[in-house]
Amino acid sequence: MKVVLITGSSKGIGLGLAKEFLKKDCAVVISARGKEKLDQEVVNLGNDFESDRVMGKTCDMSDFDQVEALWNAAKEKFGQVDIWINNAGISNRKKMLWELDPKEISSVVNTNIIGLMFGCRVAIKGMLEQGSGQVFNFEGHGSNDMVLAGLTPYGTTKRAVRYLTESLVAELEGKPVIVGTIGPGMVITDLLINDLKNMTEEDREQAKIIFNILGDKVETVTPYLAEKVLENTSQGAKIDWLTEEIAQERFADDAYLERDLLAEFGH
Amino acid sequence: MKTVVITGSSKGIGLGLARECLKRDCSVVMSARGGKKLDKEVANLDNVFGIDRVMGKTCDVTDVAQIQQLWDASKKKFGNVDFWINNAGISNDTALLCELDPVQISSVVDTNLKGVIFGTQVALRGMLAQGWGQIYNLEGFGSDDTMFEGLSVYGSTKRALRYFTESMAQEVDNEPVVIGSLSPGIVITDFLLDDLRKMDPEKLESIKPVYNALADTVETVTPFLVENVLKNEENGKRFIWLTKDEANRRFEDENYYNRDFFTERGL
Repeated sequence: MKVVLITGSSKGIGLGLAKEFLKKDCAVVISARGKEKLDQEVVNLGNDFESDRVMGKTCDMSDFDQVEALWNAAKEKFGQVDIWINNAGISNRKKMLWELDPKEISSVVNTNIIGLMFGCRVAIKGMLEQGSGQVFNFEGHGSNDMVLAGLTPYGTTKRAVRYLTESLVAELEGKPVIVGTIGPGMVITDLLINDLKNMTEEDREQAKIIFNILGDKVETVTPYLAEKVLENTSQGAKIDWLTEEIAQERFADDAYLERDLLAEFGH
Repeated sequence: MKTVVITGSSKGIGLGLARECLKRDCSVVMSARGGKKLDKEVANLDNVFGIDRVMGKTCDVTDVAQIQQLWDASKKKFGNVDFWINNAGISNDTALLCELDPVQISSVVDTNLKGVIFGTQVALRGMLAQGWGQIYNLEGFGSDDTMFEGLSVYGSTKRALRYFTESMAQEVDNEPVVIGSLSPGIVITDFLLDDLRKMDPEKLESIKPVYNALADTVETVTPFLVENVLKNEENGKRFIWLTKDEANRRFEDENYYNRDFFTERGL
């Protein structure tokens, strides 16, 4: 039985992944900052699957001691951690840099970069000691150098994630620990719906067109990602849902062009 | 007379940039965390270039309030700020991520990434209000996607900064402000020498030829950067001292690869 730990997994893609790994007979540790939502999801997952395969532990990823405690708790409960997924991430509201609250910028950097570095630091160290393991880091807008006015801080952190992971691949060459990236594409989550709500009317209409073509639901994306993660044996694996090729195909496919995915989410 | 603010300018490249700006008749605001070294360097430059063109102000760039004070003090003293150079940066010890002190991880990201984002934000707000201005961010190892074992954290911040600057150039596209980056190449500074002194002696010997071929002194690099900055009018420019072509050429040129930066510096 593989043990999978997912950060930021009380909702959205993280929670979706947790369900998929449970379906595939893994033990899963879910984690988030807020205790109430996390406890509730642990109960839900425990009801849907066997409760002894699910564990929850609160963790603020920007606090190194909490990240270390998360590793230790998982290890204590399940004996080892085979796969550690750094999924926790937040976005800034879509605004020009000069209009953003510096506190928001700080939170985005703390969670998306410092938190992710702490996650890698703790998981890689633990996995080297246990002699095996895989770490996956979530990419997002910016990782492939695409820029979008208003998403600069978020994109900056996600570009850093790609470099960091590639750099860690080099550091781990010849060692028994694998690192890779997961590119989930454009998934319709609270994070994204909140973005939409905060946009100007004009921006929103434009964004909706793109989301309807390129977006996907959590349930569509996570089975593929979980399967690829469990199959993986390559150092530096890049597990991508929406490749540039697929994106281009969708722009030429009526079924996608006419889709109204957001209607299901009330937009 | 143009006014230039340079963060992290009590030594190294920042100090060199300050000197070159003063040589070219600019007013300069120097800034660093430590007041003592800063006061000394301000006094030195004051002696050489004459009173009232140079000012020092301590600033910890991880604190956005202090950056705002730096802007306000500069504005009060010189009336306008024409150029703002985000130069302040620190490196981590050359060590695998899993062995790095987490406190160091935070410091490097706070200074190199948050410091530059905050610096850009404060300068942008001020420059949009004043109606013009230029902002430059310092690139470094990692910006061009080069990797080196033990420098994944530093490299991540510098790769992220390149993205940040490109994304910001897009955000200010319709604004009267210019944003660009400066790539100083490999410069022999205390910052670099301290790193090298901590390195495993065998490893140091193996990379010395690279430094001897590719590195330059502050005095060689900073005039190029300052000249380009002072005459630039184009948004989104990268001024690169050591291009890939130039690096390749130097490995073929004995005037470069036979240089020795290390003996006289006791390494």
